[in-house]
Amino acid sequence: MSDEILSDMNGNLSGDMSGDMSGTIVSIRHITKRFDSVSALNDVSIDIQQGEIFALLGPSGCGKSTLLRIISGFESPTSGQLLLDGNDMSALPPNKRPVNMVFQSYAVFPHMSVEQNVGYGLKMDKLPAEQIKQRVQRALEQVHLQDFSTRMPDQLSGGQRQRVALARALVKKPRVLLLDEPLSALDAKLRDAMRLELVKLQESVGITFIIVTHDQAEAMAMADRIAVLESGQLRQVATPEQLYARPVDAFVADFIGNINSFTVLDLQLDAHGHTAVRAEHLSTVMLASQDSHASLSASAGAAQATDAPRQVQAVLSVRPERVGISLQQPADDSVQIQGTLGDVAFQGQHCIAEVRLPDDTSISAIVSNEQASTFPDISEPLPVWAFWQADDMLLLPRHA
Amino acid sequence: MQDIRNRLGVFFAFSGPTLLWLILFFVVPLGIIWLYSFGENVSLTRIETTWTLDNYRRMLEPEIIELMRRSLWLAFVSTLVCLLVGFPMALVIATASHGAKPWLLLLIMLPFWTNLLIRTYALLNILGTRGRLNDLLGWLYERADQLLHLIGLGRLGLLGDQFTPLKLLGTQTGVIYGIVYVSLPFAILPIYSSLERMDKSLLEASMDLGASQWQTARHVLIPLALPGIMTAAIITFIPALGQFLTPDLLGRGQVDMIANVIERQFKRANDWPFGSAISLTLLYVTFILLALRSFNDAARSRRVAR
Repeated sequence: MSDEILSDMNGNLSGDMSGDMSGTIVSIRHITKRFDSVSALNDVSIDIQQGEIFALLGPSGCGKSTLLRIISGFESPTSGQLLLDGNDMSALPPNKRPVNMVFQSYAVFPHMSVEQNVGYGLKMDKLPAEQIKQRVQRALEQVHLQDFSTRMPDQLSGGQRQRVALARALVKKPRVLLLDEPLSALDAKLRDAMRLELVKLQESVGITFIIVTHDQAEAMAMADRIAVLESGQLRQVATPEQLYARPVDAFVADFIGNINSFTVLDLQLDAHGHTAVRAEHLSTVMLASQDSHASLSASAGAAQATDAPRQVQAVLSVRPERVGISLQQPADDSVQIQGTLGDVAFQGQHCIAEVRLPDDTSISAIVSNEQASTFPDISEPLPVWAFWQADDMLLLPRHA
Repeated sequence: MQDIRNRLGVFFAFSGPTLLWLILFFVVPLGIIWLYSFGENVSLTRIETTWTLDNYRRMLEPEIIELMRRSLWLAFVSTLVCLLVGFPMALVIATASHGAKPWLLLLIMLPFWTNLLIRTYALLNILGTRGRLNDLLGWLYERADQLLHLIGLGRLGLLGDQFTPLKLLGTQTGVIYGIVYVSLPFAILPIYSSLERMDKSLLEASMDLGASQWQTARHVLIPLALPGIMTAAIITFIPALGQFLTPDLLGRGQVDMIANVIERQFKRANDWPFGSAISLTLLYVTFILLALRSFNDAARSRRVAR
């Protein structure tokens, strides 16, 4: 595979890199993994940068764990290449790879003390006992477990066991640390604290972290960059901000945060750099044309030519925080839709209001607590207008 | 559940039949044996409990001590072989695919559903001097001999003059073979269940931290399977120590174990008091072994709780 294609791909998918990264550490190239005939990963290529926190995000069964297991060496790809620091890893068994893993179940050895657990990897490397002791001590300090070194795992809480697993992997000074759903077994309060702590720990040790998670909030909060996977396909690699603001398709937009989507019925590019989109429930919306619109328009044209049902595989979407609610019809040129006010759910700093549309679907909008308190409390449906700016809308392809 | 526990009537209705059975056919006979062991033969059919310790003193006779030593040794070796053969098998079953697992377990359970006597006679057929095993070895000898002649090495007599059948019946090896055959399922199942329960990611974590397969087996797999291995050892060793049929049939009367002597006291020698004393001694040895195991477990859990 030539480097131009790779860099081109990164240019398309990943956008700017934040911070000062000193180059690619893990290079996943066209990796495909099939179990029997089921395809778990389909031609996935990702470059992971030295020193970043990289998240593999997707719903369960999307192949993210399989990818992590391929990097750690517990699975081998059906085809494709895995490079670490430019070296092909495919022939190396897990115990010879300079990567370490924090398992979802933590996998702390129940018959060894905290100290023995953390020192295990160094003992396998046949390091002198004195050096093992020092490094174990330092690793335990890093995860604030220095007072627990003689405890057995069954005397530790879930959070402490996770720290043991972290220290045990970090003490080996891996090139890359792999974390499989690191926070999923913790309770909500501890999870938030641990999120911050993991980020701080990563900053202090400077090791590249690859985190597998199904929780988009977790990925957004921790990762420098995120790869979104769906049924074995890589959908997008980008920073959290880019993923949110510029998702490449309807799946990513829906998976990263909430979004209101309208099925596109027809779209046309005009000569003045505008795209006219007709979507259900909405009047025609004019968008500033982007490159991606051309191919959508082409597919729409093709569908018309073949007399297929006139539906474009695309949605027109808007984030709830861009949607305003008004009791009167707004007088400006915003995109507007009339419905009735449904549930208003108090979220703390704001409310999420639901606007029911005639066909029983609904869209959500974020409204301030002040505005929510002005909604009259009446039993019959209250007619309201939802409105937003056309520029806030995203035209996104939808994969069948 | 609370209700059942609090009502004596229900308790006895449910457990009564079993309790009665145990008392009538286990506790009472055992008590009688215990009394006999302190008794003397006063006539051909009458035993009087005179609280003599002679029967126990006779346990110290060299031939009985030798028998006890041999029984312990045979049981020990059989147990060891069972563990060495059983552990890999248990590992295979525990890591087998969902489709294969029930069939492998069935293979292990199958001997349970066959009469011990039939199984032992089948072994006689296999292990005999003209048995199937020697048939096979003899056939292999013939082929190897022909091959050597074919390549012109026949004259050197590398394989000896002629095939000498292995003598297994009437030897300790034959008895060990028989005991292992009978006990192997008991060794495999507890090890299997301890491996089955083990979190497989522990093994992966060990490999991930740089351990080879052997190091993982030594430092993680076997230590974590140890409770299962201990259980397997005990439930193999104790019945092996009391083996009666296997040494009787496969040992041809030349490899007696302690149970064969006990049988002889009750039958041919008509010395029930001495037979009772040996039986109870065997029981005490078993108790001591079990107690040692419990103490060991308790010490282990105290260490963990430290």
